[in-house]
Amino acid sequence: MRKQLILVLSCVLLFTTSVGVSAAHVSGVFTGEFRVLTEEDKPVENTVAGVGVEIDIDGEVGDAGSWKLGLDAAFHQPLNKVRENIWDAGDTDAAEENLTLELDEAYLDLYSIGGRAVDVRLGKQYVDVGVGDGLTAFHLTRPIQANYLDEMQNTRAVTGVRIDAFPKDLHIQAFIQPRVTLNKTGENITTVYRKIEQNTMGDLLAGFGGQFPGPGEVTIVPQAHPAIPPTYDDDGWGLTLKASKLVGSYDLGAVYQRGYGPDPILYMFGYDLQELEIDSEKGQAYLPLHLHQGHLPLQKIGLTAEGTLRDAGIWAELAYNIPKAGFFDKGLDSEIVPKAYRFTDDKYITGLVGMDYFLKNGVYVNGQIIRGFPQEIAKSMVKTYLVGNAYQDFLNSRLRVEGSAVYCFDDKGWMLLPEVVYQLKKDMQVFGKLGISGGDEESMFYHMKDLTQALIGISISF
Amino acid sequence: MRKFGTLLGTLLLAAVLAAAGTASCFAMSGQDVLDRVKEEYGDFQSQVVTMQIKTYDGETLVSDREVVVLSRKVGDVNQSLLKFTSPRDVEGVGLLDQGDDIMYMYLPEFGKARRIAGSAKSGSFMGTDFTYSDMSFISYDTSDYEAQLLSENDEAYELELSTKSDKDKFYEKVMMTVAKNNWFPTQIVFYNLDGRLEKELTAYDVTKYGDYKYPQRLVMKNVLADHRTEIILEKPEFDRNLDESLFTIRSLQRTRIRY
Repeated sequence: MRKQLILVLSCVLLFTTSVGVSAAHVSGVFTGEFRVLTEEDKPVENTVAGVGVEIDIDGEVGDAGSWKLGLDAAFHQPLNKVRENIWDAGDTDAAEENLTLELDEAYLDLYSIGGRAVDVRLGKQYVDVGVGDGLTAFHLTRPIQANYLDEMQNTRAVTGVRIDAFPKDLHIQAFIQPRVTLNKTGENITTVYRKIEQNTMGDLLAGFGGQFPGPGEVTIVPQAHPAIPPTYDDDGWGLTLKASKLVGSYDLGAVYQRGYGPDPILYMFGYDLQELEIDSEKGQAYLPLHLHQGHLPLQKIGLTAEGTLRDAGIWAELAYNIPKAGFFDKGLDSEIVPKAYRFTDDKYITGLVGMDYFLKNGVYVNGQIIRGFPQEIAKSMVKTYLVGNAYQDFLNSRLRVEGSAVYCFDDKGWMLLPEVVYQLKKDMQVFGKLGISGGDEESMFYHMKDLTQALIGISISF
Repeated sequence: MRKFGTLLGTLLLAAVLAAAGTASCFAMSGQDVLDRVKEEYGDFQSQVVTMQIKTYDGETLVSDREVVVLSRKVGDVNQSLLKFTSPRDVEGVGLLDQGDDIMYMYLPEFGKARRIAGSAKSGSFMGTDFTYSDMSFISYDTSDYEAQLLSENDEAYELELSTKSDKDKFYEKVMMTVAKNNWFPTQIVFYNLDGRLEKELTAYDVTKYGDYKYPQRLVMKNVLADHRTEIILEKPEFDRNLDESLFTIRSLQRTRIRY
């Protein structure tokens, strides 16, 4: 990762010095926070202290374009370990584990290529062709980066070339992605995913164990084969195309997207009877069950629409999802596999519809009904959600009280994210957030209960 | 009912006559004064200006932002493009108003422009004491209002402005004081829908830039909340040839506006 960072920095510096850019503009934000995971055994002692800095440097390339470089660095450490690390200052490895360094954006904009109405952005950048608020059915260019409940909508910049062309009244966007960028989840969320996975595996193993009836016992031993990070070598580069146009008072768009599911998914399981191990002393037999995970190649074709209905903003997306044929082993679509995990390459539809409005008393409200969250990439996974958000400013606009809620109609899972932000003075804010989730025991949000948290912090812009 | 109808008719007639009588007392009508203000100060076809926007809660400086604003008139339609250049939390955020209630906001962290609802016009403009609709007063664009002359003395005219359409009615009334010596609207006072005095907009340091006079500083004071917004207007340019391609999503999503 550092090699990549150094490479990009070198390229930008080389470029900026060779082309003769105007003076660079530097800005950033420093944050400090304390986060309590309330479901932990000793939540106060395990309070995580964190400091972070985000730095943006940008500049112009004469009239030809502009450039930007964004770097994020963060350090998180449970308070009860801070002291021992101070005493054991030589243990730099321990410190490094808690240090994250991320190249956020690093791109070069070139305007009016060849004198035409064509702009190009090269490098690492945020790409969102959807019209949804924070979520989109066209998520293959929006991998998630999160470690806590309140970060579940944070996304990563993706590497590629974006071309924006404006022939007449049409806007055509193309994003070509030679390098796959996957979801990046921290230890906390990974642990939750692992828990969900273990539950699933438990059901699967129970079902699978039933395949070996008889007087002797066969213990099925799961043997996971981690997903190999995908490349575009086999399936062509990642591609997103969108054509949009203002028709009447509505912006209508048509989208094609090709890429990979950003999370690994079980695509095959099996055993080899030759691997059956028999422990004659215990009278027990062990059979490894090989579980293979991979990243699903996925295509999407769909439509977007956004506009206003009287004084309300409205938007909608519809996507027809085409998983790669034959990716999933036929064995997954069997009775012994729990219903939700019978992954198939069946085509399916996802989408969303939303509306927002400013009430006369200054309250902003926003609601979306979403069919299919980004991690739901196979037909059997797709669920329907209601997502809402509202805020109001108080104390002369210095205090913002905001709340977001998610509810899943299918598994009755829910999540609440209330927060307050107070503008202490120019460029300085203090904030407090809660993250609570729950629901039926089978729901994803129920398993996320361990991530229930309270957070306070301060941010200073410069 | 019929009696009531007759009575209402009589009252309306009396009101019309009274209004006509009032109007005839003054040399100019309210609309004449408003048109003259616009002619003197706001008759430009396009404008480019950099604004430094500071908000104060009491005496505490709460925010200090810089924004570049381009605007132009196309027939009866006003179009504007606005881009924040600092500080970091709003840098790159843009707002495009193409007229006819077609407005987009560009958010750099998503790399895309989003349509915004007409109801956003009644809300605070980026935490300032201006609503989106108040921003039109900065350019002396009073095309959404009708004016009635309430009084005049040796020094000034006092106008009451009311919106032409109830849809755009965010205030009970807006009062404008216009200086007679230079036709400058020295103060605009906003009464909220409860009829209470809510905000006062005052202009300072009127300077001549080519054919046009323009203030260098504007202060919007929220008297109900002890909050104020100060706008320092830097290097305004008028009647530049601003191409229609500037008022597009293409221009909105660029890091910097080029014109």
